[in-house]
Amino acid sequence: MTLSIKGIRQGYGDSIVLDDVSLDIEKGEIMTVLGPNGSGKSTLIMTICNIMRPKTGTINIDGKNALELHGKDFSKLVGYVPQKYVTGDSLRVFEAVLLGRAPYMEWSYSEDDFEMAARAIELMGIEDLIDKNTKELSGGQMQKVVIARALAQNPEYYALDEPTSALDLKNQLSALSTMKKIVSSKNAGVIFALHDINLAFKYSDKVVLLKNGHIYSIGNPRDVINEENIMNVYGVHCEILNGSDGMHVNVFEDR
Amino acid sequence: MGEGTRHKDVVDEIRRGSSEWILKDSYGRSVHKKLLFIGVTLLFLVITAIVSVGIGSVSISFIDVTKSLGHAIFGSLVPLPDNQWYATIVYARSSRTVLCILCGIALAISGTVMQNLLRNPLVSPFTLGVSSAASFGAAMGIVFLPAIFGSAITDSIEIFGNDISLKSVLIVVCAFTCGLASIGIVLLLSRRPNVSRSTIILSGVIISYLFQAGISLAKYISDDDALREITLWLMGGMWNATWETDILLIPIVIICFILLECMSSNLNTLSAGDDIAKNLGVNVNRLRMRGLIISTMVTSACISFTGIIGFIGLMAPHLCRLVIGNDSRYLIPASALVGALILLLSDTVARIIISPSELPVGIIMYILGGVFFIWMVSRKNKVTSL
Repeated sequence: MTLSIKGIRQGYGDSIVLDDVSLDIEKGEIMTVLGPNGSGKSTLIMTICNIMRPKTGTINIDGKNALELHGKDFSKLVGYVPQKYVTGDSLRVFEAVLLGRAPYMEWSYSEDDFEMAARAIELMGIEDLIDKNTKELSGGQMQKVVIARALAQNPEYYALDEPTSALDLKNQLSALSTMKKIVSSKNAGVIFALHDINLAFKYSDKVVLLKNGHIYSIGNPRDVINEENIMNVYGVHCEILNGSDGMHVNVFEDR
Repeated sequence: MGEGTRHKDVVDEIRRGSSEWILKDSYGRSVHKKLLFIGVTLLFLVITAIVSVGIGSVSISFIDVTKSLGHAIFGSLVPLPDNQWYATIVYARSSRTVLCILCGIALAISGTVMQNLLRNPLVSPFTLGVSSAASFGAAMGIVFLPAIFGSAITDSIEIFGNDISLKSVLIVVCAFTCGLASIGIVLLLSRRPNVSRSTIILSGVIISYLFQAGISLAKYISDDDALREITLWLMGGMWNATWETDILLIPIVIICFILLECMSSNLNTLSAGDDIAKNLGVNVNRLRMRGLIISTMVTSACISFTGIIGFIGLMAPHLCRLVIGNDSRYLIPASALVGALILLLSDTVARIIISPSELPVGIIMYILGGVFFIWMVSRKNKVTSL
């Protein structure tokens, strides 16, 4: 079971941001997209989530042509966590999480909707925020609510655009561990866009390195994240350290 | 399975059950509060409607009005009252009350939906220029339709089994067409990247000025009769209330209300932003287009008979948001009732404040709305974050 994109060309107006991008996200694995600012990470995530329709290329999800799926059917397959979230109307946290059940509901929520939303709230550890107004939340709390909404959506695949950007160190680890748990318990597929290479090392089964809208390298984190690739893509020197708890990247200023 | 694992599973199960219980409890309490608000507002609206029908050059008691309306609505289930005011109540006064309720509903639901669609708390049919545009269309209709159609304009056509004058229908069509043009301009402007909320409001103000210039031109070139008709009508009043008007508006308002209510779940997803709404399966562009067209339709239809009545579409949704929150499924009916209540109360005040003469309700709404707008802007931090 795979989310497979092939030959994707994507952009805004005449400007092309992604060109000939192809990759496969397997169920039960976490793929991380790395790359400098403007390399097309967010555009790739939004294309996978059906927010932007590709100019050319195909998206197949578990054998179905995703570009021909009805909106609600698609949203049962892929959930999205944006880089910038709109605080929007002031909703209660439980209302914001229940929004994730929109693809399943007509006008009112079912028992299943409440069960899935409650499970998502628990997984993100936001039980004590249930009755709060989203306007009263900190950036980190809001990010947890947004991830909980995507979990409540209960899709087969998750695409998260820098899901840890507003979280402190402890909550970064907690959010990514939660996604890892979901991958193993639900056999879901996950793709993250991240800036933190060390988090990519720690949580990814596969890494994609983007440069100027092209895939520069794709594969096992140990193969992709090396001094030469980091220098060629980010233009910085680094050293890869093999610590007791896994691989680490130390980045240097110009030497 | 070890003792420890079993214990952990049981604890997890209890936690899960408790979260679900808390979630359902919070949701249930919030729905209860919303329904209570809707119920209480409906009760107030019914009482206000009965009182409003009783007020006039001759005061009629609450009981007499209730009995007469009861007989008119439920037929033989309620015996024909033996008071001499039955015809006055049913055929004369209640048509005005019904028109107030219809316009209040129309303007309030339009404001609610427009605010959600454009995610801007300051938009309403009035601030977006739809009211001015629709008024311009209707004014053009008043001036030019008789010249275009000649005596045929006085013909009647049958709508839902009732005879409606061709002039009324064509004026609604003119108002709707111009209202659509104004919303089209706003849509074009709001689709440009990085357009701020204040730019959308400013576009509305500019559109409003343009159409008001058009109205001034229509007044300038019209003959005495048309000028008088336009001037009175522009002040915003319920003088034109007849059952003919109401019968034309009732299906429009009911159908538009149902269509907008059917969109309410999708409107909720839009509150999380366009991207999330798209990922949740909502066709955002289509939703925005349909919502704005329906809102414009219902606004234009009412305005073409009452003239410009401002601020209802701003006040009603905001008062409701303060009490019941932003869930559109409940917000749309709640705003409809509050809008109807505000307009009915204002019209009743307008009728008695300088009795035996009366003020156009539009003037009362400008005063009320102006004060409300100042209050909203003064609590800008809360409002603009909607």
